[in-house]
Order: sequence, then structure tokens, then C-alpha cells
Amino acid sequence: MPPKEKVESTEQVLQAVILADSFDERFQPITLETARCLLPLCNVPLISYTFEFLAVAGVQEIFVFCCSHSDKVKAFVKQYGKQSNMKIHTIVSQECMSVGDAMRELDAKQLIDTDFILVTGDVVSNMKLDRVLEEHRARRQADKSAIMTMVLKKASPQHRSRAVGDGSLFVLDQTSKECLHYQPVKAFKSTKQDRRMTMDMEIFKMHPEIQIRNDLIDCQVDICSVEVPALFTENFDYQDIRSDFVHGILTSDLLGKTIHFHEVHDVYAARVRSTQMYDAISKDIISRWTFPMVPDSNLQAGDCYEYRRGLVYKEKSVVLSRTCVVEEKVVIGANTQIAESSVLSNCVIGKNCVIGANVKIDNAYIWDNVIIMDNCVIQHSIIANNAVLEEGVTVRKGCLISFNVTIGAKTTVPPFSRLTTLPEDEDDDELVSEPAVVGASGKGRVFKEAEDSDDEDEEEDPKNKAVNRLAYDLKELALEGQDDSASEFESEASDDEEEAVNPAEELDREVSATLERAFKDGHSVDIAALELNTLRMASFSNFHEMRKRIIPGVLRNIDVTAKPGSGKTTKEILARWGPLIGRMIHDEDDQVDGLYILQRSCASPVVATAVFTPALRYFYDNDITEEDAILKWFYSEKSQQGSDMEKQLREKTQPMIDYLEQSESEEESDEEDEDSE
Amino acid sequence: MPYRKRVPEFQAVIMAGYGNGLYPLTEESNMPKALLPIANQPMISYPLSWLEASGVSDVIVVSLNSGSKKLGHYLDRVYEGSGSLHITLEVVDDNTGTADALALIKDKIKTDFIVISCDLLTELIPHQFLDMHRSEDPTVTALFFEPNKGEGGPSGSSKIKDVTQYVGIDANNSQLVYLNNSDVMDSDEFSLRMSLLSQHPVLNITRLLQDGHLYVFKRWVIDLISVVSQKRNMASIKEHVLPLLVKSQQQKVLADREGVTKVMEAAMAAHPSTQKLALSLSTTQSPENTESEKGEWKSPIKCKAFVAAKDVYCGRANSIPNYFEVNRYYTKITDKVRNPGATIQVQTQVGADSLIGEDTKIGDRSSVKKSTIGAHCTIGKNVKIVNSIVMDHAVLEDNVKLEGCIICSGSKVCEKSTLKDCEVGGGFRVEKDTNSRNEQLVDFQEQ
Repeated sequence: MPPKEKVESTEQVLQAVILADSFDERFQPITLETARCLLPLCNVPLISYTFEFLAVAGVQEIFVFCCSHSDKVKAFVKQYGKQSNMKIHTIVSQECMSVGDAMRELDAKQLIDTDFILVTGDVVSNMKLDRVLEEHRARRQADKSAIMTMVLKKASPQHRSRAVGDGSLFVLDQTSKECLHYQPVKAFKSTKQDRRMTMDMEIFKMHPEIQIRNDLIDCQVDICSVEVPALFTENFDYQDIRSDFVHGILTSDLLGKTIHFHEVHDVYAARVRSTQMYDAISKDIISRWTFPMVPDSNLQAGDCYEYRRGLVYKEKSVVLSRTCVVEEKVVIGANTQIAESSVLSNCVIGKNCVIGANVKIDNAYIWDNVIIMDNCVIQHSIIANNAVLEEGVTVRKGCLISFNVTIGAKTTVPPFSRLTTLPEDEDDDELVSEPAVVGASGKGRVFKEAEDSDDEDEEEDPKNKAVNRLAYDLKELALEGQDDSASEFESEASDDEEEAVNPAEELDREVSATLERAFKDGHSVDIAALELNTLRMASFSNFHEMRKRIIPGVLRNIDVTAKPGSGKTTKEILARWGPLIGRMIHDEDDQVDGLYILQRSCASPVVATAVFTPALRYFYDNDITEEDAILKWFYSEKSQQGSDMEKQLREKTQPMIDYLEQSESEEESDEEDEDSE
Repeated sequence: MPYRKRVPEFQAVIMAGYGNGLYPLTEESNMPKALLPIANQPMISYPLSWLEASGVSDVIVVSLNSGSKKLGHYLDRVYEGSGSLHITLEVVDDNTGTADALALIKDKIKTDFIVISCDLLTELIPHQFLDMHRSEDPTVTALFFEPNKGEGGPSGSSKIKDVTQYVGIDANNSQLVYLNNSDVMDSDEFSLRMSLLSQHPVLNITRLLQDGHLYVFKRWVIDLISVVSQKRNMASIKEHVLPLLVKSQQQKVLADREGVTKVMEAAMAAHPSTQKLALSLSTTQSPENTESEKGEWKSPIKCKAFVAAKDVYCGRANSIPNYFEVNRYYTKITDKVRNPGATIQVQTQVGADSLIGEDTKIGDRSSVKKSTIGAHCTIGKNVKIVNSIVMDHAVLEDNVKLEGCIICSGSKVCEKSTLKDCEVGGGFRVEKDTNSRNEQLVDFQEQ
């Protein structure tokens, strides 16, 4: 390697691209009024965490790619850029609808000329990227087709910062650190494809040992080469970076590109993908898993949190009344006042809030300038800036209360409500409040999600959406869904059934199909017997099982009312197909068993009862069953039990038995005679 | 020393099968598979000494009817009265599968048992393998190993069928959760149940591992085999029993339907596990898998896979190429005298990687390289033997050239014959000036 090149590569400016938009609607209606990346997470805008993370990684130049509310993002970035060593640019593109669009735009603008770090504007992580970058560069040196390195964090499948609805499954090769297959995992697996992991067998040719991972947190931190945006341009239908791009690259034979991974342990990495993740990550920050990104390290200029016992973080200017109780895991922003007897636990409260007396707040996220009057109860919800809760309001779990909403006195907001003050129609200026929800003196309406009328062909299970919401409860959802059997465990059971068909039933089906074919096409007995024997061996069955199916199968074809010559009389059918039964009967035990089956099948509705005696006769005449077996059958207990019908049938054979016994005793006496001679 | 009656921890069953892959070596005229020599030692002596080293004393050798006499004779001769091993020979009909054979000797097995094939040769230290069973208390522990690539040695005349086994092992607790063979799998798609992946989030799937045919089973598995075999064919341990147990780990429906749960519960009721009691009394042991959600069915069956480390030799002499490979390896490492009591002429060269049996005579100007020659052989002048196995009592006349051949016992190769990659059956006479490649030279009288 010429040394010159080496110098060059170390001197290169490390660039990063932040996608400020998430291109989904999970935080609506809050994101209707501000950008996703500016939402406060523990009172610090989300994107600050990402900036911090990149600064630690040694990034010198950042491009922030924003679409909706770009003016707000721009203003924030401008402000932030002043106090940062990094060069931060904003790229605005209003038309972008997906990650794919953003990447294409990036390619068109040709701003990037080296490998870069691609992250979303909602990543919270304290990991260092130097190892990953080193690995990635070494790989690129050796092999130009390694275009991307994903950073994946190991966790357990039930980890709280692993989004339930956004799980992902990776198939990896641990020796080459290559990612071989990617598949998203849904929380509720309603379709068959969702319930299985499926990949190409071809993978095994190149990679004899693979590892399937369902325990990785994918926080979408990728080291990309310059080819990545170009590939997005080439494949203009790629939207999502994982399910389209990664999947597309891995399944394409033509492109010949590879994607690698880097697994990290012992660090924190997560993405605020949904309100549920917002909740989880907030708690992780408060519990200091994300150290050094904790409230008391004051990421934001002007903050001055102090860290107190019981994971409580409090600004100096907070006014706490003498009797209010601040339990564990609480963050309280500057200038907030809390009145007498209020109880706070597991919550974040923003700046300049006024909280009245006797208020109970648990698990809630209250942003800046919120006024909460006396006797309110708030559970597991998010309340955005400038909201007002009048006296005695109860907010049940899972609510999102957007900017400026006022909830009138003594109102109860039902669980999972989403309230906004934006007028329903964009053209209307005037908000029509819904007093049923926000109370008589309230201001706001219930936000209705835009109907997904766009061209999304796959119908999303609504429960998979619900699972990403704040305060969701998997068990509750499972209960709701019981009627349509989409509950995971139930459908799992049915899947088992599907897969392992009951062998007995399968044999039933196969035998009757074979017999039918034989009758219809007029096969010879030899061929039919051969087919049935093959079937027996293939299904690991025995002759008893075969007899149980073949005897009734043959006798079923007999039509007692048919005229001779039609081929359907007892005699004709037996003459034609009796030998087939004979093929299934070998020794005496078989014969007795055959007779039981004959008796039972004639007593059941599929075969006419009148067939019994002629069939028995036929069996005897053609030596299918010998007289010993018949007698044994007749006197056995088993033949005398069973239904009345079966008993009647047995009695009908009495004359024949008499005849047999007679002849037998004659034989015996003959023998005796011989002996005596 | 008299055999002391005591309750053993494990009983062992050695499966001495026919060795379909080793035709024509295992023909009646030669010897049963279990007695084929590996580095001039009968094959079965290797698993027996492995068991001896593991401390197991109660060994049942299950042999098929054909060849059982020779095997019984050998066992009597060598192991009768030996202090540490108590061997019983059980003879079953030809064509009995391994699982069927277990069902037949059901009453003789009283404890958890080891099943080992007579063709497994390994340097695995026994307690390493058994300790996994002891500490984890699974239903079955199975040995898997990565077959040696070999050195591209002779492959003989046969072609082996290429069935790849896909083995899935949980990387966290080495639970065996997936088993499938390429011949029954979809050739385009590899598919797994999602629920399997949520239970086993880190799952290694490999096609490199081979089943070592060394298992430790719980006693009740034998009850299961006899229950299930009434319903359907349960011929083989590898093909039927192990897959059933592996599947029963996840599929409750299957486990219930096949009666696995019932047999297991009956066994548990009869012999309550002390492990469970010990765990409940333990103050340091936390319950396993606390994160599994309530209401989810937790299978009582646990299959473990022990994967032999790459530097530990494991080999199965179940086909001619494998037999060559195993023999080559053991010939190389054996610490026996290379040519005890053999008469070798001065001008004859015997390579250091070869082994010559007792009382074998080798004539002038011959050379033996990378080969194993049995006892009491007579080898003429100017004979070249490379990469071959010559069994006891064989006669090679002058100017014979062998490369990659197996010459069975008592056979005779007449002068000036040149054989390459051939197998010569027991007692066969290769005529003068024969020139063969890739052939099996056998007497056809018996067929």
C-alpha cells in the first residue's frame, strides 16, 4: 500500500448524515406542529442526543436532512451550530416522503464524497464508532463491494428498548461479519409469512454456518459508502433503508454488493421510533443507562440540573412546596412550581410548568409551560407545551395531548386519546372543540388519523400499530383480538397442526384416493396392491391400518339394489376386488383382525349390512380367512361386544359357524380314525 | 476381580450395525463392521475403550444376526473377565433399526443410557461430554462434530450420497432446536418458525456438523420409543427418535399427539427428579428463563448438542472414504510398535506412516507407504503399496501394485496385478495380470 494513500484516508473529514424526519405518523398529532427531532426527551430536544453521539464519534461535518417543519429544524441547528465544533449544514427537501427519497436527493446534490455515517435524528446512544469505522475501512480496502456496515446492539428479545412492533431478524455470518438476510418482525403475526422466517437456500452454499439473530437492537446507525445513495438512485423504488435497501441488496444476484455488521455490547443504543420507545428511552436516560448522556450532564446550553438521591434531577430554580412528594425517577425543568400535596413519580416535567395542589402524576411526560390545576390525575401520557388541565381533570393512560390543548374542569380523558387544537380541515381557520372530550370550557378535538388510502398494498394489522403506542399492554391487545384468532399463541397452535398433518388422516385420504383411482380406471388387483403397499411403507404404517381402510373402502362400492351385470352387486365387486383384501391379510391373526374390521364396517353406515354374510362367505371360499380364524373371531369376546348392530351381524353368521364346526369335528373324527388305524 | 453389583450412573449400548456404506468389506466372507481393523485393531475396541475411560461398566453390544457369532467370539476372547467392563451381547434380527433394537432390549436398561455406534472413533475426553448431560439434565445430549476435510486421501470405488444435515443450535445454551436433512427440505427456501426464534434468539444453523451417533438419553426415552413404535415405524434413532424429541421441544401439539408428554410425565411420577428438588432448595440458583411469558407452553423436553472442538478428533468409519480417513489418522497417531515381529527384507522400505501387523512377511525391494498391513500377511517381491489397507492373512504376490485399495482378509492378489481404488472382498482371488480401477472385486456366490 503506498503510504500517500494512507495519509489521505486519515485526513479525510468524517461526515455524517442525519435524517431528521422519520417518515411516519406515530407521534401525530404532536408532530403536526413541530418536527419529530425537536421533541424534548428528558427536556432536551431529541436531535441534541444525536449530535452529541456523533461529536463523540469524531464527526466533523454533519448534514441534517429535513423535510417537514424545516424552518424550525433550521433555526435550531443554526443555534446549535454556534456552540459546536462540528460544521452542521441543513438540507431542505419538502417533497421527501421516505428515506429512499432523501438518499436520492443526497445523491443528486453530490455533497458526500467519502464513507459517511447515516443516522436518524432520534438516535440516543453512547457508543463509540472508532472500531466500527476502522473495521469498515479495512473491509473497504480489501473488498470494494462491502458497501455498508450496520451497527447492531445485542439485547434480549424482550428488552424494553427493543421496539415490540419494529423487531428485526438478521441472519449473519460470524466469520466474515456479513449480513446475509434481513426480515422485519411484527408483534402480531397474523399472516403465515409473518410467522415464519424464510430465506434463500442459496445462502448456505457460500456460508455453511450462519447465525440467526432475534436479539439485536437495530438503531439504524450505518456506515455507508458513497455507493449507497447512488444505489438508491439506481433502484428508484427503494423506500425504507432496511426492508427495501438491505433486503434488496442481499437478495439481488446482479448487484454483487455485500452488507456487513458490527455487533456492540455494553453500550446504549436505541431509537425513539414510537411513543412507546419514547417512554422506554426516557426511563433509560433517567436511570443513567445512557451515561454520559444524562440530565445532569446538561447537554443543552443554559441547563443546570442537579442529580439527587432516588434518580431525581432538578433545576435550581424549581419551587417545590413543603408537602409535595417527589418519588423516584423524576426530572423537573427550570422555573417549575409544584404545589402542596402533589405526588410525582417516574415522570419528566418541563420548564415553566405550574402544577397545582394534590395532583398525582405517574409515568407521564409533561413538556414546557404546561399548567396543571389542583386535583388532577395523570397516568402514562404525554402532554405537550402550553397545554392546560383545569381543576380535577383525569388523564388516563396512553394519551397524547398536543400543543395548546385546554381540558375543562372535572373532565376524564379516556385512555389512548389523542387531542389537538389544529382545525380538522386545513382550510378551516376555526377550531371546532369537542366538549364531550375536553370538557365545557376546554379547547381541542380528537385527532383522527388520516385514512391510509394510499397505495399501500399490504394491509397492516391495526394491532401492530397499536403496539407502538405509549402504555400499550400486549396482554390486553391479545385479549381484544381473541375473536379473530390472531392471538399469537392460538395461531401458533394451528400452525403446528398445519405443518404436521395427522398421519392417520393423511393415510385415510391417500388410501381412499388410491382405491377410487383403482375403481375408476379399472386397475388390476396387482397394480392396486402395489400402490397400496408403497403407500403403507411411505407412511410407516402397518397392514392393520391398511385393512382398516381398504375393507370398508371396497365394500362401500357395493350397491345391494344393483342388478347383476351392472358390476355393482356384492358378488361382482367381491369377485373383482376381493383378492385385493386378500393381499392385505397374511397369517391367522391378520384374518381374525380382518373379520373384526369387516364386522365393524358393515355395522357402520358406509356399508350396507346385507353385504356382511356374502362377504364372509367369500372370504371363506377364497381362503382369505380360514375356518380357524372365523371360529376364533366368532367366539372371541371382542366380536360379542360393540354396538347392537355388530351383535346382530355376528348372530347372522350362526348357520355358517354351525356348518364349520360340524365339518371340523368330522375332520377331527377322521383324524382320530386314522390314528386308531 | 468379581464384578460388583452397584447402581451405575449410565448404561451403555453399542450399536454394531451392518455398515451399508462399507460394502463389500462387511460381506459374510470378511467380517462384521464392528471387527474391521482400524490401525490393526477391531473397530469396536475404540468405543469400548472410550466407554471404559468414561467409567461406564455396564455395556450392551447390540449386533445384527449376521456376524454376531464372530463378534461374540471376539468379545469373549478379549473382554471376558476383564475387570472394568461387563459386556452383554444382544443379537437382533437383520434389518432392525437402532431405535427398534433399543425397544427390544428395553427391560435390560435401568438407568439413563449412552448409545454409541461402533464406528465412532473419537479422542473426545468422555467426561467433557457426559458432564454436559450431568449438569444440564436434558432429555438427550447428542454429539456433533465437524468432519475432517481429510487430506484428499483415497476414496475407494464407492460414491457417497450427498445428504447434508442442517443443525440448529442455540448459541446461548447449546440447546439443539433444529434438525433437518437436505433431501427432505425445500431446495429453494429455508424457513423457520418465528416462535422458535423468539425462544432462541441466537440460533446457529450450520451444514458442516455431522451427527456423531453418540447420545445420552434419559431412561424414559426408551419407553417413548416402544410406545411410538406401536403407532408407526420408529426404526432409527437418528432419523426418527432424535427429530421427534427436537420437535417436541416447541410443538406442544406434536408432543401430546405422539404421547411424548404422557410417557415423560409417567416417568417423572415414577422417579421424581432430584435435580428439581435441589434447585427449589437452592438459594443461589435463579429459575431458568424468567423472561418467558406466562401461559406459554414450556416443554419439559430439552435436547442438547455437544459440539466437539475442532482440534479434537472425531470420525465415523461409516463409508469407505471415511474408513480410509479414520484408519489413516489412527495409523499415524498409534503408539504401537510399527512392525512387531514382521519379517522385512533389507531392501524393502516401510514408511514411518505405515503399520505392519505381526508375523507378516514382506519380500525384497517392496515398498509400503501410508498403508496399514494386517497380521500374518505374505507380501512378495517388488510389491508397491500406497494408501491402502491390507487385512489379516492376505497374500500379495510378486510385482503387485496397490494404490488406494482395501484388501480384505484371506484374499489373494496374484502376481503383476495393478489395482487402483479397488476393494477386494474377503477370500477373493485376484487373477494374474489383473489391471483394475474403481472396482469392487467380490465373490458373487452368496447373492
